[in-house]
Amino acid sequence: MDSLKIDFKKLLPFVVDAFTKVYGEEYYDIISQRIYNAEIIQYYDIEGLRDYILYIKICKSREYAIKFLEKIGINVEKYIKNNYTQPLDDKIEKILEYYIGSSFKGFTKSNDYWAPLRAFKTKNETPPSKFLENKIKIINYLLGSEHKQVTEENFDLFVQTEEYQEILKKINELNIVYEQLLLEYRKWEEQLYPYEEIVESEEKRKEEILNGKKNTTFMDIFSQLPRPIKDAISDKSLEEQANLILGSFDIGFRSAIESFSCDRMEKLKSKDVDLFDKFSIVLSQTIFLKNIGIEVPNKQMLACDSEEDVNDYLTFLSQDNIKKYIPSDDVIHYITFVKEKNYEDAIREYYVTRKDFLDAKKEFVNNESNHKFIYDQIRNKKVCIAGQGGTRSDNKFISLMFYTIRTYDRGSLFWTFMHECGHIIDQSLKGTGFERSNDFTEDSGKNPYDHAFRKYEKFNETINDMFTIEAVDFLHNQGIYLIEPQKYTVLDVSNNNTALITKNLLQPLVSKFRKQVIRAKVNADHKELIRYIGKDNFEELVDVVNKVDYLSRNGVVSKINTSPEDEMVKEYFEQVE
Amino acid sequence: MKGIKSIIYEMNGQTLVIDLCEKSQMKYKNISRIIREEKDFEYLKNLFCIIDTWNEEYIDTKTIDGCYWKLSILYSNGNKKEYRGKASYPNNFEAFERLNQKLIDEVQNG
Repeated sequence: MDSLKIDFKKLLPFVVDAFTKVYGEEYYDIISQRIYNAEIIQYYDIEGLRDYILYIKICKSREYAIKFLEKIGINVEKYIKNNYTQPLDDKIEKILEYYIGSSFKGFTKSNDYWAPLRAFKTKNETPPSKFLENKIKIINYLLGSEHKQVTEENFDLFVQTEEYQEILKKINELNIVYEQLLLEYRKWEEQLYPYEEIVESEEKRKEEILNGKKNTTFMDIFSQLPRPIKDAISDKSLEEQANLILGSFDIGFRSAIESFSCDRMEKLKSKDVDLFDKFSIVLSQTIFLKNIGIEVPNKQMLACDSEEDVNDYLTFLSQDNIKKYIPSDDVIHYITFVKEKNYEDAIREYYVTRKDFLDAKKEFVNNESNHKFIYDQIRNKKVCIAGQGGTRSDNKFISLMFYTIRTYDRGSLFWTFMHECGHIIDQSLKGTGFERSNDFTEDSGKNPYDHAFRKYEKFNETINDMFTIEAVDFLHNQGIYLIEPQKYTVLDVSNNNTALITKNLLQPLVSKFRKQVIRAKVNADHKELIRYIGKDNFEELVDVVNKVDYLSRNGVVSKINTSPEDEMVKEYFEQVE
Repeated sequence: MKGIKSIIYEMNGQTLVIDLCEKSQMKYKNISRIIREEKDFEYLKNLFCIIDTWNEEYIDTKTIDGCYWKLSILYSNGNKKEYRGKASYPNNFEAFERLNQKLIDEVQNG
C-alpha cells in the first residue's frame, strides 16, 4: 500500500523534476542537492493512520459501489464525479440503499445486516426482523412502485407466487455480481491488515500503559481521600476503585472527582456561566457521586435547563450527608498534580518505546537533547522540517523532515510532502525562504495580529504553497499522481495550509517579480526581492498578508458576499486595495 | 441544546461546522447533512468531557509548518469560547479528533 508505507526515495526524482520546472533549470543543482541530501523521518500518528485506513476504505467502497451499479446495467454516468474523495451523489446512494444499504455499508464487514441483497444468502446471522425488512425492501424496489407492495403481513403469501420466483432469479443474478465485487474488495482489504494491526496493537499498548498509571495514580492519592469516600469504595478491587474515583477515561481527562474543585463550584454559582457548561459540571459531579453509591434523585434538577435547576442542585450538594463526600480543594489540587505528572510519564513511556521512535533515534547522535527533539515531533504529530536543520557526519548542513499521516490529510498526502520539499529547497544555514534561522526561536518577531505566528511566517508559507501547487499541477498534468492514486486524491488544495485569499493577494507580486521572488526564496534572503520592490513595500506586503490571513481565519470569507457592511469585510477590502 | 448555537472546528484550512439551531446540521468540505438530535447531544456531552481540561492556547511558534487548529463554541446569547493551538495539543486531543471523525463519517456514510 503506497500511501501507508511511503518509499520517499522513489518520489525524489519527481520532486526535483517538478520544482526545477517551476523555478527554472538554473536551480536544478541546488534543488537536487538539497532534496537528495535531506533526511526524511517517517513515523506513525496512530490516530491519523486509523483514520486514513478508514478513508481509503470509504473511497474504495464508493468505487466498488459504482462498479456494481454499472455491472447490473444502471446508467450512472451523469452522476459520477471525477474521483472518489467526495460522497457519491445522493441519487446514487438512494439506489444503492435498495441493493446493498449504501456505498459504505455494502462493503463493510457488517454488510450482512445492512445489504438487502445479503438477506437472500443462507449463511447470514442478521436478526429475523431486519432480515425480513431487507428482503421486503429489495423485493418492493424490483417490483416497482406501481405494483402492490409486499409487507411483513403478506410476505409469506407472496413467496408462494410465480412472481416471487421471478424476483428471486433476478436477485440471484444480482448477488453473483455483488459477491464477485465483494470478493475483490476483501482481497484488496487484505493489504491493510498489517497497518490495522499496528493501530490495534499500539492503541492497546498505550491503553495498558495508561491503565497501569491510573492504578499508580489512585494509590498515590488514596491516603488523601476523605474517610467517607474510602469507606464507600472499600469493598472494591484496586482497579474498580481507581475507575470509581478517577473515572472510566484515561488520566489525560479530567476525572469526575476533580469537578468539585473550587473554580468549578464557583462556575456553578456564577450568573455569567452558560447553562451547558453548568450542565457538564453537574453531569461529571453526579457521575462521581453515583460511582460511590450516592442516590441523586431529581432528574429535572440534573438537566440544568434553568438557573433554578442549578440552584436546586447546589442545595442538594450542601446537605451534610452529601457534603462529607466532597474533597477539599487542596486534595483536588493534589489529585490534579499527581495525575498530570503520571500522565506525562505514561505518554513518554509509550512514545519512547515505539518502534518508529527507536528507528528515528538511530538517525541522530545519541543524546538527551536529540531524544527530546524527536519525542516532541512525534508526540505533537508534526509534519515539518526542523527550523535549524541538521548536519551529517561530514558537518555539511542538511534539512530534516518529519512526516506522518495526520487525521485531516485524507487525499492530500502528496501535496503535504511536496510542501515540505518546497521548504527544503529554500533551507540553508541562513534560514528557510523568507524566514531567517533566528526567526525560529522564542524571541523572534511575532505576527502583530496573531502571536501564534512568526512575523514572516504567513508570507513565507503562502509563497511556498503557491509554488507547491504549481509543482504538483505540473505532475498531475502529465497524469503523474504519487503516494495516492488520482481517484483518491483531493484536487482542490487552494485552501490547504494557507488561505486562497492570501494566495490571490500575492499573485500579482509572483507574476510581476517571479524571478526575484524565487531567487529570494531559494537563497533565503529577503534582500534579493527588496532590492526590486523596496524595503517598505516588502514590509507592507508582509503586513497585509498577516492582516488578511487573520481576517480570513476569523470569518471574513463567508461574509464577503453576504455582509458587505461588516467591519471585518470593509477592513479586508481596505487591505486588499 | 441548552443555549449552544454552533461548534466550529478549523484545522489547517478545513472547517467542520455543527449548527445546533432548530435542526442540527453538520457542514464539512461542501457537504451539509442533518444530524439526529440524540447524535448531537452525544457529541456535545463527549466534547465537553474532552475539553474540560483544555487551556485556551497551545502554541509552538518555533516549528515551521505547525498545524493550526481552533475550536470555537458559540452560545445563543452571543458568548463564545475558543481553544486553539499550533504544532501543539492538549493531552486528550486524539479523543477530540476521533470524536469529530466519527461524526463526519457517521453523517456521511450513514
